Amino acid sequence: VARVALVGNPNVGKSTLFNALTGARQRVGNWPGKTVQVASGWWSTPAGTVELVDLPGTYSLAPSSPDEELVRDLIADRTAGHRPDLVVAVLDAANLARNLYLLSQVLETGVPVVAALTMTDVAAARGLRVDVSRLAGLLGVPVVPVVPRSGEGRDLLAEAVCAGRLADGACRNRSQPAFSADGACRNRSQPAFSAGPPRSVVPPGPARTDDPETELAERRFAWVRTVIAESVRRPERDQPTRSDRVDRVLTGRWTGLPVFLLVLWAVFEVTTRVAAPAQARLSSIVDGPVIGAVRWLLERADLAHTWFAALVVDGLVPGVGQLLTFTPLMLIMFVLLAVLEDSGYLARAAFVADHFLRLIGLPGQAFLPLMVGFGCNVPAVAGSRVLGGARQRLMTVLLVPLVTCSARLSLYLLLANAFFGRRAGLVVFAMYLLSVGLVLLAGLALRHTLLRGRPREALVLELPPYRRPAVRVVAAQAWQRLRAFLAKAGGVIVAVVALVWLLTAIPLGGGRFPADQPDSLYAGVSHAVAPVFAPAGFGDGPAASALITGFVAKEAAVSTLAQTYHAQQPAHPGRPGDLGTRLRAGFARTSGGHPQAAALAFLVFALAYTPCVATVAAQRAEIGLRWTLLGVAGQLAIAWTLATLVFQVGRLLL
Amino acid sequence: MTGMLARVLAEIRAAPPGTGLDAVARRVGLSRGEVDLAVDYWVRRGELAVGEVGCATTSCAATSCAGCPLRGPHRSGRGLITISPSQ
Repeated sequence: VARVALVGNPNVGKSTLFNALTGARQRVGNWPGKTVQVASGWWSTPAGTVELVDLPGTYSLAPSSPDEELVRDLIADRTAGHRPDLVVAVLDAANLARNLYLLSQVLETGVPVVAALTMTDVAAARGLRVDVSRLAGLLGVPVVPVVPRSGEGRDLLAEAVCAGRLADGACRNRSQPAFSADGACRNRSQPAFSAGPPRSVVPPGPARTDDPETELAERRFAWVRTVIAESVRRPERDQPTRSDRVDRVLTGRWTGLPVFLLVLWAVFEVTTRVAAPAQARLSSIVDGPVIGAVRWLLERADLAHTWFAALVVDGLVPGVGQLLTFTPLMLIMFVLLAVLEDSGYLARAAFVADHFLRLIGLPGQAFLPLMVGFGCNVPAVAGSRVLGGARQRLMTVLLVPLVTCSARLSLYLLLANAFFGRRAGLVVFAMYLLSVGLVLLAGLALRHTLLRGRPREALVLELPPYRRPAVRVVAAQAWQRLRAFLAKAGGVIVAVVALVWLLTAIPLGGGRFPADQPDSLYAGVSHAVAPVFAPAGFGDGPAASALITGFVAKEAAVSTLAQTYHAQQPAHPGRPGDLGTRLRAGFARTSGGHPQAAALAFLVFALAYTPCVATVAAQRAEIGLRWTLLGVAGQLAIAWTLATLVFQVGRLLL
Repeated sequence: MTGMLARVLAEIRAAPPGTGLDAVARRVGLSRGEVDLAVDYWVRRGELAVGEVGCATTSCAATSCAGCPLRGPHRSGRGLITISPSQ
């Protein structure tokens, strides 16, 4: 049985055509001796059945991957036993250049070729008109327009493959027929198709370069351009696609940033509003039935009045429970981010951010680690290695902690929901805006101190096409991110909660263990630090203790607030365990009746000061201890100054 | 005499940061598809490097990416593509 191979660039409709030609009669498996999967099937043609092999998509026969190596071996290597009798080269009419370059290499192997022209509707939508007869004449092979999805052109393709002639006469003027007579493909003992000698499609001409490989590529490129110029009619002006028109708005100089901010605002608005009921429900479950069940279990185990019971009831359960109540919020945000990413918008957002960063003189590639920093500052610091210059790396590593990471989000959401109700989304959005603003301002400041005389960098940016987000991808992406967050946060929280509980249990001036919260070592340290925050409106022990814990890991700050407030006010009338109520009462007390201003100041401080010890460790590894300490000091100074400013101005307004 | 492939490479090397391939195509008088072809050739030759923002493990060289929003079963081709001269 004759073997026909389908060859073409990726995403040209090759596999769809394969399915249309073979139907259910196909099998998928590794190619002998290779790890590359190849599908093969039986294709009924007017002259008999042939074996059709769907080779992996490739751009070139100069391989750069195992897939491409297989295609090269199969087609170009004459010694291989699997060489096909004929190749059907699938050409994308909307992107002929890349397709023709591969075709030029296939033709040079001497294997008989029939071209299947796909995507003619896409080409037509772009105003491109392919003259099929002219194209066939220039290529010297039959060209058959096909629509893989509907199967249109399937019969003509079969006819061209087995008979070497076309109904539309596209190849009637070929000087040499590519194939032998009808029916040849039935019998393998006869040559199925008359394979011609290898022929070069590249025109002769003066050498343009000393490099023979590039010289050959230049000639192929010139041939491709000639073929396209003579067979494709283009519109006088390129017609903008719908994607182009949308991009003009989403990435426009004046519209890109407002749209970006609007989308960001919408994400946090939806996140906070949609998840709020679920969060409240989970919170009430943890504070009520879960705590009750744990207490019942401890009593049954005769541990109710031990230090272990105090650790579990006052530390672990409220701390971990508080994290769990944020699960719906994080899940919704991760789903929205995944939708934005899979639709192609997130790349546009990165493009807009990059453009904006350049305007104020930040290094071109710095947006890569800065974007990563919105997730976690630790890999973002490590990511600064992609930057070429030492000064650029230094600047980026110093700026990354000002990018608000996802761990800080749980703290924002708690405070925003507790103090600002329906405007919580707006407050969280403002935190992200402030983060971007801080990065830009700090970048400008550093530019005039550390980044003078920065060399010019070339960096071409390309946007992916828009696509309808795939439910499977979005769900998997959101789940993996949520799982990673919970796994990391969960581990850190259990450790920190246990440590905080231990510190709160150690009596400061001697006494019983576990100590009452106000008499503990942790309370002593927190109260000693607290006056520093008085000008910012949150100068009390619990707030200070949460910030101290937040220095270790922001994920644990919320649970510390739950721990410390619970211990301080264990029997709040009405809603025991309601952290929001306790926070409002605490901040009202420390702020002299301006709890919202104090909460805003607290959020600003949480945004601007050191993200976590892991980030500090990563910074030390990248830029050394001296710069790291300078960075930490700078962050604390910025955080305190901004928080104080926010509170002092806010108390006049709120 | 300089070939078009070489001209595309030179244009990308000289392009201001943030330039798109459409702009490169306009400057050298080629179609977008032809520029894609040229970029593909130079990437294979190691003269250009292509990256994709959205895959932290390749773009940030991080040893850990827990919690990173760009982490996960990222669908290749959904991020911002960067094309830079190889170091």
